[in-house]
Amino acid sequence: MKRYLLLFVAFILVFSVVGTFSTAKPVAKAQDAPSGTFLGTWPYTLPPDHHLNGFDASGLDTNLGVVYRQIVELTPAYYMWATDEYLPMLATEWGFTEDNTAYYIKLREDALWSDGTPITADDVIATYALARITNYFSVFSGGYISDVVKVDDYTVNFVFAGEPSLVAERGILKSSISAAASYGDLPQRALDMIASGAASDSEEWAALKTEITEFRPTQLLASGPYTYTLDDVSDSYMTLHWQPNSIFSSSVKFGEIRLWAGETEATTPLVLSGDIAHSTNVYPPSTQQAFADAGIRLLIMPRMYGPALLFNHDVHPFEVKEVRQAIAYLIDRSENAFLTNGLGATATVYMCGLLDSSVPVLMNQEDIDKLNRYELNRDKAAELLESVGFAKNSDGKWADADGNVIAAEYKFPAEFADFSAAAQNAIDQMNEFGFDITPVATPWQQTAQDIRDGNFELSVWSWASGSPFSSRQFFGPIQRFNYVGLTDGQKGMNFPMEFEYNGETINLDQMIKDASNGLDIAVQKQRAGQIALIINDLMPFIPLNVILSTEPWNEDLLAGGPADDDPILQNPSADHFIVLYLLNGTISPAN
Amino acid sequence: MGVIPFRRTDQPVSQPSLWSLSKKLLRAVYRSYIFRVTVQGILTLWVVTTCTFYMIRKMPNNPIEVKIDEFQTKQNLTYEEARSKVAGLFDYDPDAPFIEQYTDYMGNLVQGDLGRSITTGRTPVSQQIAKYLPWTLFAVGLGLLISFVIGMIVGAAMAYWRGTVFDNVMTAFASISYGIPDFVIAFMILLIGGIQLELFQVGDYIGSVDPEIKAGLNPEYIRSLLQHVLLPVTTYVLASVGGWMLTMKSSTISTLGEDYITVAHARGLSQRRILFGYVGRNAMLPLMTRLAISVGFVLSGSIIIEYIFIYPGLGKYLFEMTGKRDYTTIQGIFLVTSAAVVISNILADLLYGVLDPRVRVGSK
Amino acid sequence: MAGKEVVLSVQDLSITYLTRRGRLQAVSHASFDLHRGETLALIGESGCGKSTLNFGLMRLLPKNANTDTGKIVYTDQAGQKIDVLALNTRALRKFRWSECAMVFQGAQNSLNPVIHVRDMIYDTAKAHGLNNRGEVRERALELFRKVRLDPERVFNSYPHELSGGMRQRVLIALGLLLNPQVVIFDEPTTALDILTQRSILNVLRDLKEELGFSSIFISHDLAVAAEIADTVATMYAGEIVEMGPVNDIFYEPRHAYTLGLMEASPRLSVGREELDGIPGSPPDLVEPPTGCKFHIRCPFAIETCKTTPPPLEQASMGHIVACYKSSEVLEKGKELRSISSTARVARLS
Repeated sequence: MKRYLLLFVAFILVFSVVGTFSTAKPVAKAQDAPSGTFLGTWPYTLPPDHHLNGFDASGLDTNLGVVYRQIVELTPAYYMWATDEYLPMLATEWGFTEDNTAYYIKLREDALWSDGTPITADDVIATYALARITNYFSVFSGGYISDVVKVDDYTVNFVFAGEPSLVAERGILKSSISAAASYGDLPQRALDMIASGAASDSEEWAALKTEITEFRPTQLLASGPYTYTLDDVSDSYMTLHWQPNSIFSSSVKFGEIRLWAGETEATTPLVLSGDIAHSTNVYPPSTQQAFADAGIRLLIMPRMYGPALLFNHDVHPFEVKEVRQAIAYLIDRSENAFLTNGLGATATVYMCGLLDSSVPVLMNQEDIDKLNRYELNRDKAAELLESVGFAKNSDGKWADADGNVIAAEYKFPAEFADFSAAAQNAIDQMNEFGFDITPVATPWQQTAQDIRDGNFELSVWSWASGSPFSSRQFFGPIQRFNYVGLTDGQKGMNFPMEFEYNGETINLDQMIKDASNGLDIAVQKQRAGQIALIINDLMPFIPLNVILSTEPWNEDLLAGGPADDDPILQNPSADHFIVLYLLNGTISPAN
Repeated sequence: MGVIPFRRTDQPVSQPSLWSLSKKLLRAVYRSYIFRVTVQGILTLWVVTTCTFYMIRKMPNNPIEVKIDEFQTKQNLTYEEARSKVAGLFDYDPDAPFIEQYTDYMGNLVQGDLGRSITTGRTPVSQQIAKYLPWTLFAVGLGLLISFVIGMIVGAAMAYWRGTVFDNVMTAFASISYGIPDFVIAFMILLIGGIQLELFQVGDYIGSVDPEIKAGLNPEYIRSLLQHVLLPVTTYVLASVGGWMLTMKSSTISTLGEDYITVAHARGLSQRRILFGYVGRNAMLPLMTRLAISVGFVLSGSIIIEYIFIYPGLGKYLFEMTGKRDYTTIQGIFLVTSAAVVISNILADLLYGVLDPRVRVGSK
Repeated sequence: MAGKEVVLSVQDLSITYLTRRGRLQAVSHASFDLHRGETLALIGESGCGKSTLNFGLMRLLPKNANTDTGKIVYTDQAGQKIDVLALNTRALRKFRWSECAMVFQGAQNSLNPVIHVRDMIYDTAKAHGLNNRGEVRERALELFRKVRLDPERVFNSYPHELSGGMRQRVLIALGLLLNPQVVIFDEPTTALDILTQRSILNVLRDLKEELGFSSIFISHDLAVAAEIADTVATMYAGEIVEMGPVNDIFYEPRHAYTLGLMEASPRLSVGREELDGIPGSPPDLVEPPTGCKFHIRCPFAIETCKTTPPPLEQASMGHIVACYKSSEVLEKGKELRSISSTARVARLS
C-alpha cells in the first residue's frame, strides 16, 4: 500500500510540474475587443462575500475599490490635482447654477450602459435616491445636499441644503453613477420614500435601507469599458472583461483587466515574477529595493498622509505649549522621514496641519511666511524648555524644579513598519536630547483603540488626508482622535478646541469644519491661514513626515506609463492616474 | 428525574420496575463510551465558544473603525467619506450589553444557526465556512498525509540505518525542516524557485485552480487542482516532515532496543514482518497522539501558507476576518475548528485503542 | 554425559564489542560441548559475558559486536553438522528457533505488547514454513497445557493481560513450539517471586524429561542452577573459569570465584544474614587485568596470579578449572560447608 502511495505522490508532483507548460490560453470574448491583459492587483473578497451592490461598503467599493470602480462605473468627471481642474468623463458640463443654490451636471448624450440602453438623468436620480436612503454618499452624510432634481433627460440639479460648497462639488463629480436598472424597483421606492417626507430615523426608512444594502444585483451594468460577473471572480484573480458599448470602449487598449488577489506579502512574488505589472499595494523599502533591482520601475505618488506624533494633553508636561514646540524643534524630521519609508517619505516643511504640497494652493503667501518651520534647532528647544522651568539634571535628563524628568510611554502600531519606524526614531531622538521615553509596541488595532480611549501618553497616527480641501486636511488627529470627534466619553488626545487665543475666544473645531464652506476661494484661503497659524503655534500634534506611494510599474509589460515629471503623478490614489490613462488609451500592452 | 410520577396509583406494580429499568438504562447510557465523549465534547465546545465569544469582543478596536481605516489608507478617502460609506454597513451594535449578545448568539447556535457575517454584507457564516473548508481539507489534509507517511518511512529507515551517511544527511535535513518556519520556506520556494531560477511561473501556482478551466471531473481540472495545491502542500510537507521524521526515528530507536524485537529475530521472523508488525506498530504508537492533534488542526490550516499562496482555505479566511474584526465569522470558524479538534481527539482515542490493546477505551 | 552425542560444540569462541573506549573483550576463548539431553548451567555475575555468549550462539549480537575467533557447530536432528558462523542470512533465519530456541528473561518485554499471543505463535510458525494454523494451534495449546497454562484463554490473550509467571510460561511454550534440539534459557526465573520461580523450575524439569531437548541455562544464582543443571560452568570476565558436573561444582568448587558465588547465593537452608558477597566488582573488560582476571578480588591470590593467567586444567573426571590455588579453594569450601551446617544446627536448637 505504502509503495503505491509513494508512487501516487511522485506522480502528482511530476504531473503538476509538467502541467505548467501546457496551461490553456483564454479565448477572447468579443471579436473586436483589444488584445492584451492589464495585470493589476486588488484585495477583493470572494463569493459569497463578493457582491455587486454599489451602496454597501462590502460591495463594489471593497471589491473594486475607488481605483477600479471608476473604469466600470464612470464618474461624472476626473480631477487633476496639479491644475485643480476636472476633466470630463460621463458629464460634458457641470458647475454651480447661476443663483448658486444648486450644482448641476449634464451627461453625455451618447453614453450607453453595457446592455446598450442610454445613460440618462434617471440613472443619476436613482443613484442619489439609493445613496440618500443608505446615507452612503458624503454629500448626504455631510448635509450638503437636500434634494436631487431632474432638469431634463441628461441634466440633474443638486440642491444645496445651505450655502454652496466646493466640497460637495468634489463629492458629486467623483461619485460613480450606477444603473437604475440593476436595482429593480428599489430606486422608485426610494424616491417614493423621500417624496413622502418620511424621517430618516423612521422605521420604514430603516427597513428600506436594509433592503437596499442587502440587495444583490445579478449583473453589473457598466458605463465604463469593462465589466464582470461573479463567475469572473476566482480566488487567485478576478477578470474585468471589455464591453463594446462604453464611450471609452474604442479608446482602451486592453481586452481585459486581471486583478490578482492578495495584499503586500502575497503580491510581492507575483510582481517580481511579472504576473502583476502594476500594484497599488504598499511595499516596505526593502521590497521596493528588490523591485528596483529586478528592473521594475517605481512610480512615486502622494499618499497624502504621514505619521504624526500625538500628545495626550492630559499628561504632564505635554499640555505645555513650549514643551510641544521644543519637541518640534528637537526632532530631525529628515532623518525621521528617511527611516520611515526610505525615499518614499518626505519631511514636513510647514508644520501647520496642511500637506506641504497643498500649502501654496490653500493659503495666502503672507500667512505662509508667518509659519514657523521648526527647523532642527536643539538650542532653541533647550531654551524653550528652560523658559518653562525645566533644566538638565546631573544625569543629563530634562527635569522640572521638583526633579521630575520628562518621561512617557510612546505607543505605536507594531505591524505598520512605517509608523513604527517613525515612532522609534522620534523616541531615539527625544531620549538623546534628554527625555526618558519608553517605546511600547502594540497591535495596530490596540494602538488605535488606546488613542481613542485616551489611554496613551505619546503615540503615532496619521495626519492630513487625500482631499484638496483644507477642512479635510486639517481634520487629522485633533478632530478624529480628539474628544470633539469621538463618542461615548472617549477623550483621545483631549486637546481643548475652544480657548482664548490672541484675546479672542475661538472654537477651532468649528473653524476647521467651516474652513472650506462656500465658493469664495479667497475667503477659504484666509480661513485656512488662520487655522494653520494656530496649529503651527500650538503644535497640538507634530506632523513628522508625509509618506509617498511607490507603486511598481513593469515596463516589460506596460507601455505608456507616465513620465516621472508627468503632473498626473501628483494625484493620490483616490484620483489614480491609471483610471484616466486606461480609459483614454494612454496605457497599452508592451510588445 | 423528578418528572417520573412515583405517586400515580393506577399501576402500582409496574412503576418500580419501570423506574429501575430506566435507571439501568440511564446508567448504561452514561457508562457507554459514546455518550460520555459526546457529552464531554459538547461541554468542551460550549466552554470554548463562551471563552472565544468573550475574548473576540474584547479585542481592541471594532469592525467599523477597521473598515474606515482600510478605506482611508487603501483608497485615500477622507475620514468623512469613509465613515459615510461604512456607517450603514454593519448590522452590529457595539453598545449592546454583552450578555444579551451572548444569549442571542447561543440561542441561534443551538438551532444550528451560526449567524451572519457582520463585515461582508451579512453573508451567512455557514456559507462562508462551506466555501473555504473543502480547500483547507484538501490542501492541508493532503500535506499532512504525505508528510506523515514520508516521516514514518524515512524516520524508521533513519533509525534502522542509524549512524550511516543516510541517517546523518536525513537528520540534518529534518532539523532544518523542523527549525525553519513555514512562511520562510514558502517565500524561498517562490523567490528562489519561481523568480531567481525561473523554474515555474509564480502566477500559475497561486490560488486554488486555474479560473479559465471549468470545474468538473475532467482531467484538465484535476490536473489544475493538483498544480495549484503543489506549492502549499510542498511547503507544508517541508515544514512538518522533519518533526515526523525525528519523532519516528527516536521512537523507532527505542523500539528497536526492546527485548521483543531481539526475541522476534531469535524466532527467525522475516525482516518484513519484524519491521511492520513489531517495530513499526510499536514505534508508531507515540505518534498517534501527535497525528490526532495535527488532524484536529488541519481545519485552522496553515494560515500563513494559505495567505502567501492565496489559497482560499479557512486559515487564510480566519486571518483576514480577524483583521476585519468580523466577530460572527471568527466565532463560527473557531467553533468548527474546535469541533474538529474535539472529534479528532475522540477518534484518536478509539484508534489508539485499536492499535494498542493496553489502552482499550472504555475499559475501567 | 560424555557418552552421549554432542549436539552443540563451541570451540575457542571470542567475542568483542567495539565501544567508544576501545575493544571490549566480552567472551574470551570459551569452549564447551553440549550433549543430547544435557542441561548446562552458565553461572556468573551480571556482565560476565554469559548472555553475550548465548546471543553469540544464535548470532543475535548487536552490530557493534564481533566474533573474533572460534567455531560453533550444531548437529541437527538428521545428524548434519551446521557451522553457525558460516550460515547466510536466509539459512540463519531458518536455523534460529527450529534448531536452537531461546527463552528470555524479563517476560515483561519479550512479548510484542500490541499483538495477541496467538499471533506471535502463528508468526513464528509461519516464518518456518508451517502454514497450517490448525496444527500450529493444536501444538501451541498442547504446549500451554504442558507449562500448566489455561490454553484457550492464554492463546487469545494480549501479553498485558497475563501475569509475569504466565508470560514466562508462554515464552517457554513459544520456545518449544518448533521442537528445537537446544533451548537456551536466559535467566528465566529472575524477577519472579519465589513460588513462581519454583513452579517454573518444576515445569522445566518435567518438560526436559518429556521432550529430551538439550539446554543451556543462564543464571547468576548457583542454587537455581543446581536444581536443574547436569553440568555447571562458571564464567568470570568473559572466561569459563570452571566447569564440571553439578555435584562436583556444588560440593567441591575448585575456583575461588565459584566458591565466592556459592557464598553469595541465598539458599532456603541458610539464613540471609550469612550471605557473603564477593568484595570488589567485576573488572573493566576494555583494559582487563593481567594474569588471572580474578586476582584483584581473590583472597587466595599469589604473585603468579598477577602475571600469568592460569590454564584450564583437568581437576577430576569432567571437571576443569583455571586456578593455581584450586586445592586450597577446595579445602576452604569444605571448611565453610561444615560451618554453615553447624550454624544451621545452632539456629534450629
